[in-house]
Order: sequence, then structure tokens, then C-alpha cells
Amino acid sequence: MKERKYNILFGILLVCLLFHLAFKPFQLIKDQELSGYYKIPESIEFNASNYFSGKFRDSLEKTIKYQFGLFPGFTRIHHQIEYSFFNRLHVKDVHIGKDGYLFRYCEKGCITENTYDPVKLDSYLNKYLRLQDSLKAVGKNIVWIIAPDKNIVFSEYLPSDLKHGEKVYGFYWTLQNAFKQKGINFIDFNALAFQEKNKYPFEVFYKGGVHWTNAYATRCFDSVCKYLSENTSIKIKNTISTKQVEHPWGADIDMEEAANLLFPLEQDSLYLSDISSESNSKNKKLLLIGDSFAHMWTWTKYFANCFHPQSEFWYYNREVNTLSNIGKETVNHKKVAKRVKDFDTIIILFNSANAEYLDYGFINDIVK
Amino acid sequence: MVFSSTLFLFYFLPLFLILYYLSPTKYKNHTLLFASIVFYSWGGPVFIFVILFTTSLDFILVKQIEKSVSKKQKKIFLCISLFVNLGLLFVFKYLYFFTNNIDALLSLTGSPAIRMSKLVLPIGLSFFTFESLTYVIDVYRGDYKSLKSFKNYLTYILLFPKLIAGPIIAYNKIGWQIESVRKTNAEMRLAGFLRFIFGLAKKVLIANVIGETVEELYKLDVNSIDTLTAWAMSIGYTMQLYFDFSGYSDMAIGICKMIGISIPENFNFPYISKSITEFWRRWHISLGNWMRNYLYVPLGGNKGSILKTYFNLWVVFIISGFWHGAGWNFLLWGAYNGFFLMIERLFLDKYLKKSFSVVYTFFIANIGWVLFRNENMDVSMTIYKKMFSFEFHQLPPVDIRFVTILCFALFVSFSGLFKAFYNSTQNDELFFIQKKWRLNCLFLISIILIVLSSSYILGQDFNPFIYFRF
Repeated sequence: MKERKYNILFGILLVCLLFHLAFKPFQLIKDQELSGYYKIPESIEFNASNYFSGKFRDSLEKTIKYQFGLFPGFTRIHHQIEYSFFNRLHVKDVHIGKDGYLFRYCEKGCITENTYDPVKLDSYLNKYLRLQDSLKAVGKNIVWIIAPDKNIVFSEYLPSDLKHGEKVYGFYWTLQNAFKQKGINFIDFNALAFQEKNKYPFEVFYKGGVHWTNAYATRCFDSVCKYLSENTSIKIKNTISTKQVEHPWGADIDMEEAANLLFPLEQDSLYLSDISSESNSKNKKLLLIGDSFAHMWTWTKYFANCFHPQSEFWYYNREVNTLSNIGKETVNHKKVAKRVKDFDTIIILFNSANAEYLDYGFINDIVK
Repeated sequence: MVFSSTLFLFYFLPLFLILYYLSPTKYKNHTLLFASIVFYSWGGPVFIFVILFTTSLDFILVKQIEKSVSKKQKKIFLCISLFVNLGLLFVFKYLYFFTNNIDALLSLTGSPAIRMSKLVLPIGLSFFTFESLTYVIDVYRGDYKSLKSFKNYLTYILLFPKLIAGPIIAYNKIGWQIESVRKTNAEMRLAGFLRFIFGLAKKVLIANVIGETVEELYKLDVNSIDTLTAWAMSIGYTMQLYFDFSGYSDMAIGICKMIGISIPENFNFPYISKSITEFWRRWHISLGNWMRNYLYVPLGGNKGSILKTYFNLWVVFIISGFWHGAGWNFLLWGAYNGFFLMIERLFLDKYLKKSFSVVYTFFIANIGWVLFRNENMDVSMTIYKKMFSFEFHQLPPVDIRFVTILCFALFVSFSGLFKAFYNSTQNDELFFIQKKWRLNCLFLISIILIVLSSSYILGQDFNPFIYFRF
């Protein structure tokens, strides 16, 4: 009787070690893939040279780990334990701030005392002004928008190890001052978000997100439309409705998702906005150059509904997309000056964490 | 292939166990040998030829020793075997160290250096060399008969659970088990599995976690650290080493148990020792036994004058230190331990009967591990300086995880001081057979530990970016 029990218990333990086979390769159970960006190591060819040098072994061991049936599940368990018991997150550059706010630290651009070379910045802004004037002369517009950054808007929640004094953004503050001194018109959503963060009825940033919330991106989009309507011939009128939802939208809680936890973090209420636009510019072509913050405006097709269908979004001034679809073309930097002539309005949108890189070379591509 | 890898834990081990249990009794050793060859070839594809060469040679030489009638002939074969085994160990492990030191001396005289590049050490060389020697010496002494078949000898040397990190199993402890018809019973299998899981947890959940922070601490500029950080580094490493090594031994013992082979314990609560002498009876027991039986006793042991005994002790400890690695720090670490053994024998022993003695032993061992950890003697000396400079500038740069796991590790290390706990760990099978609830508890804990260990094996290095970035 006892022996039978021991054998059963032994069998259960052995099955525990083989349970992963039910996920892969047999696929009897399906597990949700892990979030975030990571590369699965490529396995190398099996031959005598690779085998005896140990290269084959090393590559296969790495590959096996990623192909392992319970890899997503066990990783989530690990990450949850580390978060719940030891306040640790396993996402590159993400830090836990106060009250459960997550923050992304990005190399030089985010939290730094460094800033631009003043001569280079001055020359750059002069080029921008020249471009602005030339476009204005032919009835075209260019608008520079600085998207808000959580590290600035919610700096009071930053973990102490990421804080280097009160003003932690060397590049952003310098750029803001330089714009003002040069008399360049720009929209600074940091300033707006900072004013509104406790008054705005919905969240500006979710605790677990890098990007502005869908609701706040919509509010800012409306603000841009109003700016264009007041200062240009473009007239757009929006009607916004916002409702509470159970599941996050798009990149709303991207840091939390990349953290691959078992249980969701304690969140603020999630909201989703809807917008209907009336535009007089559906025959006008827009060129939007921006970073991932612009995705909140392209994935939702906000601009696509207001401008010509052939309008384009140049992601990081590298990847050419239409306003609603991902393209596979890359920006031909030698032909940018020529291509720009096709557009009636240019919007440059970069989040202040990317302030160091300005517009990723767009102005330099046009004005030599 | 390490025991705490995905490949071993989830593919190799279960597959091996299934094949092993399905094999007819007379083919069990074939299965074990095949698995051991695959295991070793995977980790050291080139070195399998080295190990095959030495084992073949030893097998032949031992047969010759047994056949030889004259003592002189026996001695010649013994010497050849010692020369080949120790020669290989010397070439792979120590030659670089010696040439480096000779080069340093030559540079003082302005002579041209010899210069050689470091050789890759065949996995487990130090362990299997010592095991081969036990076989050769035991048969030479006439204490035991040689193994009948080469296959069995190869199985003894290549036995994968103990191949990489021991325990060092003397031939006389295992030879008969390999030759006999082994039958595993259900208790042994289950006890072995549970032991394996506890060993895995010690390695993955304690040693690796502490080790991660210790590595980070050692990346700091040692000149800029303060006393608390220096102690965090040393105690952290003390715990990392113990849980890593004893965890690995537990896994080896567990696997062997699952296949019906009983191998000796390697650790027995070393940090509850009341003296360094006792510590060395509880730490890496198999090496201690080897050193006693195959070095200390042949040197004369304690049969000569007191001075000779002390000399023998010191030689044994210096060699034991050098066995751990080819570096001055290991030599010094061996001498350091030998020194405390000597003074304990001389006078200290009589003062070490009180509870303070456990603190003393931990303190001395902990100080010793700093030497063991750092090949660079300057680093060790700076850490010592910092440990006793009593400068307290700030809290050590460690997180709550390190502190929690370290406290837990210390608690487990000293838990042997409680009689009930100590007794319960002395016999795996008896422990859970005696009371039903114990088995149920252990089983439940084991399942939890499998899940936790697996998640730490798989999830520890997974730190994705939020997005792909240009």
C-alpha cells in the first residue's frame, strides 16, 4: 500500500518535469505569449566544428529555453514573485516609482543633466525658422509639438534613484527655452498636462504606461485641431465621447504588459475615447513625423479622418506609413526635400524623452 | 550540462529516468553509461576523449597491478598511473600557473619569458582524477578487487550525477554497487527525487539569487566600499558558496538514490561546527575523506612526532587548497585553514566548548572565503581592511531580495543547531516513512519548489524591452 503511494507520488513529480510537453510540441494546452520586445536566439547548424567548439551546445541551450512549453507561464510566475515580494520588475529600463507608478529610464534622453551643444542647437533652429518661413510663403504650415512625458508630468512619483534634482530633463528644458527665445510657435503638451493632471477628469498617464492615455491623446488631438483651425485655413471640429472600459487600449499600459506579470497591477480606471471629426481639409495632405506617441493618433485614424488618404506618417523619420496603415518603405533621406513639396501641412511630434534627437534629422534632410 | 539548466531538468533527467526504469536489470548499467557519456560529451565534447583515454589506461594498469606478483612491478604500474593522472591534472590545471610565476621570476632577471596561454580545463577533471586514484590505490593496497568489466569502470568514473562537482566517491564506496544487481525501491526513488528538488531549490532559489547581488557588489570599486558593504560581500559569498555546492551535492545524491546507488554525504551543517577542525568534517566531506585516506595517512598521519603531525596537516590543507584552484589565493586559503587546525590542536580546542565557538567557526570560515573568492590578493586585502575599518557611511547597495534570502540562508545554515531539525535531516527515507503527515508536507513543498525553481531558471534572465527600438 505504502509502496503504491510512493510510486504515485514519484510519478506525479516526474510528470511535473514533463508537463511542458503538453504545451510544446504537442500543443494540447495553449499559453499566452510573452509581451515586450525580445529576440529568440537562432540555433546554429549542427556540424562537427560547431559541436566540438561548443557553439552548437550553447545556441541549442538558449533556443530550447525560449521554445520551452512553459516558458511564458514560468516567466510570469517568476516576474510576479519578484514584483510582489521584492519590488523588482524585469523590463529593460523600467523602474518602479512611488504609489505603483512605473517609469521608463532611457539612456541619455530622459533623466539627465546633459544638454545640447548650444551652437548646434542654434543652427538647427535657424534652419527650422527658414523652413517655416518658406512654407508659409507658399501657404503651407509646419507645427512642432512636444508630447508630454510621464517623467516630467509625474516627477513627484519618480523613484529617488532616477531623480537628479528638480529639473531632471536637460534636453527638454533647453529646447523649450530655445523655442521661446527664437519666437518659434510650438505646442508643449507637457505644460498642459502638468496643469491639467489633477483637474482633467480622466488619466493623463496610467500608472503602468509610458505613453499618454488614449483619452488624453484624444484631448490633445482636439487641441491641435483647434490650433490649426485658429492659425491656418484648416478647419476641424471634433466631438469627443469618453467611456470607462475594462480592458486597456493599445499602448495604454505598455510597461505593465512588458513586465509580464500574472496579475494586473492596481490601476486607475481605464477609459476609451471616441471622436467624430468634421474637416474641410480632406483634400489636403498631411505629413506627420513622430515617435511612438504619434501612434495614438495614427492607430485611431484621427488624422486619417481629417486629411487626404495619401497623407503619411514617418515614424522616427525612418519608416514611411500612411496615416492608418503600417508601410514597409523607409525614408529616402536624399529625397526628403522633394517629397515634402507633396504635403500641405507638416506636424512634428516628439515626446520629450526623445528631445535629445530633436526631429531625428528631418529638418537637416531638407535645409542643408 | 548543469543540473539547473532547462535542458537537463526538463529533458535529460526525465528521459533518462524513464529509460533507466524501463531497461531490464542487466542493461541498467548500459543505460547509465550511455547517459553519462551523452552528459559529458554535451558539456565537454573534446574532453570526452581525455577521460576515455585516462580511464582505459587506468583500467589496464590496475589489471596489471592485480596480476603482478612482485611488489616492484605493482609499484611501477602504480607510478605510471599516478604519473598519467596527476600529469594530466598538472598540465590542464596548474601548468599555466607555474609558467606564469616562472615568467614573473624570469622578468626580474631580464630573461625571456616562457609564455603560454591558459588551457581549457576538462570538466570535472579534479574530481575524476581523484576518483581514478582511489581505484588504483585501493587495488594496489590489496584492499579491494578490481572491477571485472571496463564498462563498469567507465560507469564508475563517468557516473553523471557526481561527474562535474562531486561528491568524490572512493572506489570502495561504490564499486560493489555498480557491479551488483541494483534494485531500487519506491522509498528510495521518492526520497531521491525529493532530495534532488531540495538541492535544486538551494542552488536556484538561494545560491543564484544571493550570487547575483554578490557579483554586483564585487563590481564596485573595493576601495570605495565601507564596512557594511564589505561584510555583505563576504557573508553573501559564504552563503552563496555553501548553498551552491551543497545544493549540487544534494542533487547528485538524489539522482543516485533514484537509480539505487547510495553515495556518501558531502555536507552536514558545516556552519554549526564548534571548531575549524569540526568544520572540515562537515564541509566537502568527500574531499576531506579523500585527503585523509590517500594523503594524510600515507604521509604518516598523526603517528609520528607532534611536529610531524602538524607538518602533515598543513601539507594536506595546502594541497587541498591548491586542488580547488591554481592560484596563490587557494594556496593561502589552504594554509589559513591548516593554521587554525594546528592552533586548535595546540591549545584553542579546550576553549571552544561553549556556544561562542559556533560564532568563532563561522567568523574564521567567512574570513577564509574572502581569500577563496578573489584571485587578486590586493582585492582580498582591501576587503579585509574595509571589514575591520569600522567605517559606516551608508547602507550596502543591496535590495530587499538579497537581505531576505540571505537571512533565510543563514537561518537554514544554522538550523542544524536545533536537535529535532538536525536529526530529521540525517536520513531522508526514515524521515518521511516515520510519519504520514511529513511525507504529505514534503511532497507539497516539493511541488512548490519545482514551480519556483523552474520559474527562476526560466524567468531570471528574461528582461525584454517594452518595444523594438531603432
